[in-house]
Amino acid sequence: MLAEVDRLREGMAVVDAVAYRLARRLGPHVELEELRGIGRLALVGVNQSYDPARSTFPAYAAHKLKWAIFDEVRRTTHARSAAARLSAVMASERHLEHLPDPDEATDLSGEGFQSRLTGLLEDQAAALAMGLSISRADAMSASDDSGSPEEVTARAQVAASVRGALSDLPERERALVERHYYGGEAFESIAEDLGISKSWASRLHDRAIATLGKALRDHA
Amino acid sequence: MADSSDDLWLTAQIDAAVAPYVDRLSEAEIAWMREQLAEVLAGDPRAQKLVRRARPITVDESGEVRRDADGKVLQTPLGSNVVPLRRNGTKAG
Repeated sequence: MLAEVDRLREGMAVVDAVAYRLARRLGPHVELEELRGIGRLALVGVNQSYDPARSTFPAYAAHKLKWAIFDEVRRTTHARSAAARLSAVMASERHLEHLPDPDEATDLSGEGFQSRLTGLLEDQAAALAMGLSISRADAMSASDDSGSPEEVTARAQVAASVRGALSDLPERERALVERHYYGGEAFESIAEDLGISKSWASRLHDRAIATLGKALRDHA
Repeated sequence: MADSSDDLWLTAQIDAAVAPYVDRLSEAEIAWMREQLAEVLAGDPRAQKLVRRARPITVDESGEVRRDADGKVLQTPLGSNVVPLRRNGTKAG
């Protein structure tokens, strides 16, 4: 019992850190206090599902709280522009989760790190572009900042490029991206439905982003 | 939001990543994308390390290296892998 109380206390600091970081990324569409509130509510469940044998509590909580906050914000975000930016940040954060620790790359030279940084930025840009091009079925299209006719046309072209690149992806990668970002389904339930672990699904997601990015750059 | 605008090298890395999308997204979206990439590099601990490791070695214009009374280097370029040398060529710091 004491351990649980201690963990909750520790978890509050994690909630603040995660909420602060997500507020910086999501910008004026969300309030820091709103994210903190979502995080605090989610913390109880996170504490209950924690298994000390698998990871430290702060690491586990940071991961779970981040996605709990994203899911709740997504559920309540309907304006097209805000929904697109949210999808973009979610894709970016999902991709960041598998970024290798540079400290473990003892055999890499400065050029190797430069190449890895270039790859990271290319993939992150692709994740953001993909997110921005997504119009979820439940997002409003006319009432917020749709932009000038040129911008609407340009966005439609990017969306068509992303759609085209998506159709060339292997089936599971395509299903994962389409169902999660276009259909709004939870990542974990898609993984379960596809019969793969969440970790493997995340790797398929990274591969999909890299392939999409290459396709978008090749057709620039 | 992180500001990398005073870091020319970092800005160039971000500009290169954004370049394929410049004519395909609105100016506001491109600016937002730049901000997001800067935020990723500033806010994720592993990305921060990667930036430090990837950053090219830079030398002060004068070549001068500031040291304390014991000869220890007071300032080196952040994250660089420069090994400062004494005048006789032996490693210092």
